[in-house]
Amino acid sequence: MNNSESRDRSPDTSPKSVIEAALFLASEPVSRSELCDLTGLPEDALEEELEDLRRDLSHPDRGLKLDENNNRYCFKIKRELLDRVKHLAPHQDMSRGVLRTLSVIAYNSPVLQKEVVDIRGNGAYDHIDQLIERNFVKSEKEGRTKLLSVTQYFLEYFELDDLEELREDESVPQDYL
Amino acid sequence: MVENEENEKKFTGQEGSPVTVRDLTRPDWRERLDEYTYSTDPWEVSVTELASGFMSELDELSGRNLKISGRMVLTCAVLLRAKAERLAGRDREDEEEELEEGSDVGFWGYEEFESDSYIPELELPLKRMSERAVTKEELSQAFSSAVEVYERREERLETEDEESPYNWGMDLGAEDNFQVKLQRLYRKVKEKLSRGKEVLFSSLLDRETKEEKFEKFMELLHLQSEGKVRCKQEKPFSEIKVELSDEDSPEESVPEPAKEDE
Repeated sequence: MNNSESRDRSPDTSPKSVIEAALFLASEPVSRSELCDLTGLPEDALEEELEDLRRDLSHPDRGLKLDENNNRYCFKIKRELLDRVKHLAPHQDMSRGVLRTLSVIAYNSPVLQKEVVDIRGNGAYDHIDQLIERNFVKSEKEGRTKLLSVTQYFLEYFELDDLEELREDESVPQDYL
Repeated sequence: MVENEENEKKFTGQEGSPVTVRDLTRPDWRERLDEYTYSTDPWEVSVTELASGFMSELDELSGRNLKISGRMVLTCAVLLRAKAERLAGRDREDEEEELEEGSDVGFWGYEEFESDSYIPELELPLKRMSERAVTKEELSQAFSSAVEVYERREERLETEDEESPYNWGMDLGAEDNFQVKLQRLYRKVKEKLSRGKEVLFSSLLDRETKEEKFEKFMELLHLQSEGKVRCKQEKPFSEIKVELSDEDSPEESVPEPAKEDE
């Protein structure tokens, strides 16, 4: 018996409840195809269920939101609640080194990969790969190096209208902007 | 009993016994230990006496053979383990015998659970991996930290550059520079001498640092080895007087006055 056969698709469980359970439990964002497999729904029907779930969660009484990135879904705490509850989950969803590299790119975006590596050291190459994979950063060829800039998903993730909002913060070292 | 006493005697390390502490120096010590441990009841061996024998043996050896100490620890450990296992095995056997004798089938009431279906399955609650999104403040803190780490690294690199080994005039890779320095010093010596001054080593220094003294001294030695100057020191640690070598001395370089009859 393979995994998909073993999954319970009894008529009592609504597809939305399966999606909710999957997204609550998964440690990584769940792909659209995996959700289709779990719910047994075709893509368009799944999209409807996701939209329905998104609508439910948008209610002010709910603390979660449905996050989508590259056709992968996960639950996130609503930004306005994050500061209040973040101590309960001390682990961030990216490592300290990756976050520092992301911050250097974000505050200087667009920035040459070479400059980022100068500041962050050679480990930054790996961090940049991870950030591109997670769709926080995009890169374009620029001579012998790459030009790195943040994506729309980055802005959505941090709920920013634009990067100026970040740079207005006077507490960050202004000499490096 | 007599045999037991003999066994203990063997392990006390006394002279004449088949297994002594001195035997631990032999290549086949491990085989002998195994043979001894498994062929007799380990409870008949006194580890305390064996260890005491080792201590006195160690005194005699004066720590010349350190392998023995390791082997001794292993020997005692093996014996203690053998004793413990023997003891545990004996206890288990006794318990099993007691249970077999004292229990009637069905008395304890657990026979109904012998079937797997009676064993309750434990269901562990599924726990969510709790990782959260990064906040804006954490992003700005990360940027400050990244800059701080960068500045620290740069500072360290600068310090390392400053502390890098001084070029004591031995860096022959920079030979061009060194030749220039030699020429400069040689000109300086000649210039001073042409003014009729006595040239002392200290007068050739600008900063009088340790490094400069060493560097200039190396240059002078090079000039002397090239036969351009001659260094003289009256007594150890006294001032060094620098003179041009005979062939380079100003007097000699002055052309001899022409003879009248020529």
